[in-house]
Amino acid sequence: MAQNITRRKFLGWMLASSGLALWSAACSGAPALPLSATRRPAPAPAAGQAYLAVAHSEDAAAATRAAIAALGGMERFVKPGDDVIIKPNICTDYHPPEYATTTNPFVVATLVTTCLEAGARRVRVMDTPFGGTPETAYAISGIADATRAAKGEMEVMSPLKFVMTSIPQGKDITQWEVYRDILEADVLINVPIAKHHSLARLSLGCKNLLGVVRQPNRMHRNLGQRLADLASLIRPSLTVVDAMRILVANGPTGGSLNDVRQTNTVIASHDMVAADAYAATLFGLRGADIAYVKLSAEMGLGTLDLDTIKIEEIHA
Amino acid sequence: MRLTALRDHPGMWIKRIGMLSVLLILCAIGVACAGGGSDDLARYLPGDDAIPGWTRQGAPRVFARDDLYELVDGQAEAFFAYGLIQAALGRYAGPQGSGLRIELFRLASAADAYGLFSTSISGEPVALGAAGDADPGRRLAFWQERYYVRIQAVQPIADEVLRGFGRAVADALPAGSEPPELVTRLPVEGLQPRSARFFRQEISIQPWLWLGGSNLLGLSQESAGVLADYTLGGSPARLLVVRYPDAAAAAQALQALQGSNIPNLVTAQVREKELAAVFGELAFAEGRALVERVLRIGE
Repeated sequence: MAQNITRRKFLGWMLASSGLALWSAACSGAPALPLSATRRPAPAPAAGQAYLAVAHSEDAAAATRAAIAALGGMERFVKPGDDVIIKPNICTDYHPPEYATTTNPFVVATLVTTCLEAGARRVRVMDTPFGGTPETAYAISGIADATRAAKGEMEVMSPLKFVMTSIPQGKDITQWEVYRDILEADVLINVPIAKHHSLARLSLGCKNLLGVVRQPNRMHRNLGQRLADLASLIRPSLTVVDAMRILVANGPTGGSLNDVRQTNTVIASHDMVAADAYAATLFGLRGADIAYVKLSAEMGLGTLDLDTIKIEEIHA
Repeated sequence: MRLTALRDHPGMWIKRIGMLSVLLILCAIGVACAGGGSDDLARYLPGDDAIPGWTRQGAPRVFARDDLYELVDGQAEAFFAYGLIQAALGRYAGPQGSGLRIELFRLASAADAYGLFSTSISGEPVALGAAGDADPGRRLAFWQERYYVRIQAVQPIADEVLRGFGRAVADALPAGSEPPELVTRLPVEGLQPRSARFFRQEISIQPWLWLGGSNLLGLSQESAGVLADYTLGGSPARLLVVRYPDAAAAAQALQALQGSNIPNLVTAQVREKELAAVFGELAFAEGRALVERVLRIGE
């Protein structure tokens, strides 16, 4: 049944929204935005759906499709008309995909396709490379071509769209400049590549969120807690860890194929902490060995305990 | 009034002018050093004519310590652990759309340059600089004096081109490269080639030996350590040696290590300022013998 929105109702909502924003800004002492009002919470699995899916295949697209299907299909996360943002790791502008420093382009493209199949109005793909230009990085990663072929859009993140945002659950940071569209999208799909990281030990889903904030270098002090704080704000709808190839040393930038292992795996869950915890096992570690994963779990953002969740493993 | 002061107290004015001159000279030296330092590092990068068919894309970029994240992202901490002072980046374009980048890092000392190189080895040995490491046609890295250099092709290219760029940088850099003394002291028997990793902080050896991430051993820029792989009696082992600024720090580290639950610790011992420990699947007697050899116990 279509809802009738009267002018009175509309004005009432507008006033309420404005009041909430002003209240939030006043509390933080800075012009910070409140948490996104539009993002739906990540949907918990229904009966028969996996809490976490692990798909193995030499074909990245097949593995991605299988993992999403085990979670109940993209329709579980994306509704008709949704504005979707996919956030891969495109950190460098000089390594092609085989170096395992950037997310596999076929994983990204398959997510674009499945989102559009589920009725998404728009699917954008974006990240902030640390060096060079986004356009070059997008091209060299292979993600630009793959996304466009799948009818998605590559967006260069505009410096004007970063807004100071309150982090109500933050323990170390209580506000930070975050890319506004990331907060406002109906659905955010976080697509890290699993790789070694000099400081964090591993770069996984939570670490991938650094690409949506301003001054990510300032996060490196007390990195574990700050990432967990950030995760409490960003809350992706779905995390898909690309572990088709993983970088096991000299990360996050790598540069040697000898440090790359072909693991042919895609891990997916609505619970980013669980997805990260599982991905850590590919490196012989546990989620609890990675500070930001452990601290995220302690903040109630997900579970580290892989024995208590329904994990579906698929050979696609 | 001022003229009167000058006439009445000439010594005071000479002193003031002298102090001002010294101040101006110091400022000039400071500016020259800062600017010269940047130019100095970038000038080691090859120009347009170094390799036929290859041209440099724009002026090299120089990175101060605080800007290093813009060059290497989260890997910056690995460079800070070796006292990174400055870095430079040059980009080059070759035939048919090929490209490569040269990154040059100035570390605190030659030992630090060795250390950074030793913890980055992943390919084949190459005779370049003090020592080199390569994935032919794709990547080349080496250290020389207090510099660490890495050259990365965007797409595979002729290995001769990579080596040509490498030689051009090596020829431009200051000569002289001695590995750290601790490394030269490692017992040779059973030592795996190219496995001696020099370090000062825990972060540098984390991929090979996880010590908990909270500086269990009390390491600092004043300490020096080496972690090396051994095969003794068919069993793999890792030897850790750390030299501390004083004996008390070494003793404290031994106590912390023995009280920890770091897995596979076979044995650990201290002699004066140095701590040595063996991890792995060795028999205790073999581990103890290795520790005593490196600490020169009984000599």
